[in-house]
Amino acid sequence: MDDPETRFTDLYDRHYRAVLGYALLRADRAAAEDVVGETFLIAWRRFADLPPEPLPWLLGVARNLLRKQRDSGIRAERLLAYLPVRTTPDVADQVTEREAALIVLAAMAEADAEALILTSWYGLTPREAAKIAGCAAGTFAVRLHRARRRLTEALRPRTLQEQS
Amino acid sequence: MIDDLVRSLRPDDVTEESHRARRADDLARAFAERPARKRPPTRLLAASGLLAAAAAAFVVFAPSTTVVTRPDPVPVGTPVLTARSVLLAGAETLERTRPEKGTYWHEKIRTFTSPLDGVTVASTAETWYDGRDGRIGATTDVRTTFTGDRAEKTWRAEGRPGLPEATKDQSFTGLVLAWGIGTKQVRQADLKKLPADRAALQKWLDDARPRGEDAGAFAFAAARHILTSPAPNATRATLLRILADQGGLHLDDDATDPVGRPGLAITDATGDHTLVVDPATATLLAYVYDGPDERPVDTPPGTTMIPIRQGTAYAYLESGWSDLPG
Repeated sequence: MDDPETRFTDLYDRHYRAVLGYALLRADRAAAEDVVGETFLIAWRRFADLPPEPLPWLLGVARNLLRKQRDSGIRAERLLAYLPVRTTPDVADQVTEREAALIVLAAMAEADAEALILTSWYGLTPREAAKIAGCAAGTFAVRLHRARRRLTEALRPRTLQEQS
Repeated sequence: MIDDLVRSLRPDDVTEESHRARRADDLARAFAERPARKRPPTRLLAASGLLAAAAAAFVVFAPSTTVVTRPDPVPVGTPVLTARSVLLAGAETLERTRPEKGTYWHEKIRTFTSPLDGVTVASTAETWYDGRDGRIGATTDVRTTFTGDRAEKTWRAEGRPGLPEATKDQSFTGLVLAWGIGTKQVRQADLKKLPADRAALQKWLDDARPRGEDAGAFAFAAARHILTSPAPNATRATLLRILADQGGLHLDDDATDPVGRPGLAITDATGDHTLVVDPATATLLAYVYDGPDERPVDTPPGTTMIPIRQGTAYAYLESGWSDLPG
């Protein structure tokens, strides 16, 4: 396990999916895969200096590379295409709810959506996620709170009175 | 509940399939490059609340003030220092700094190179330059250090690579000092005229940036020249604001530069460029390059390009206006 190539391969296997998942928010699949490949190439060059828990660092590098993409916004149609298949009894309801959630996420301010995704997909602490988002922890907390509230409100079943 | 729902949107099917498809190629591409090397050591200070001192010093003290106080412990609720906040505070400090005046721009730089694994060659060079004339000091204090006997033996066996040419004190007669910033050849007069307007400076950087190079990484590479140059304080402040807006920055808040001065180390997202800044004065203490070795490129006749190699570091010992030494 001391061999750098073996340790790097382990790093790649542990984090590739997470970094790609993040890149797919902002790029089509081929472009996202290229960004992730580039991210790990940079990680190899810097392997001796990587922090002990490298995922936030990897996501930060990927984020910077994604900024160079011409169309790097979070797009609902793109996310819908990647929606994972779930085999549960109430498939139809779940798919509808998840599609609705994706559309709401894609429609909200990108920084807010990103805050929610970074914390729920990867279990990052607000401080770690704030570093990736390039903002202060306080700002990040506000974004996260706003995103949760908007999504909750958008998916809340409405009464007839509210709809009229 | 909401977090569970968002978690269920993670594209696990696609990432799993892609991992299988891309793994072999990605790893082969990485391993085709030289193995990663440790950066030149940056000694760490004992954790001491430097964080709070640094933040306060940027905001409160005049840049010429030397702050050597030991701060109180960080109180609960102290804002977290980020690379961005450090750079923005540095910009504010520079904007309050009264411009210096003088005839000759004086720079004293200690350069560290790593010609082989485990070998570091250090030397100091000094210039005084008014844009046309001045003096180039002799290269001094050349020292080679090794991580072990094996590295030293290899270095000797390979003919002691990396030692600087022994130079004598000389004038600038027949020489022009210019810096290569991307595609631009920049002289002292050009640096003095660099715009302070954000859009104009960004455009200048964009024009200088070689095609395909990352904008953030290029801004960091340019910063090492501009921040230690006679560029106006307002220009340098604007550059710090541009750097602050780059994504993926990493801050080491208790680093030291290669000559042991404490500072805040900010690394760009590619990891190739690190700037070590003095928090009290917003002065650039050092620049460390950890990207791939630059390749020599054709330059106009009569000029020489010195490509930068992985592991090179510059410690800016002195920079500012002065008279010629007696």
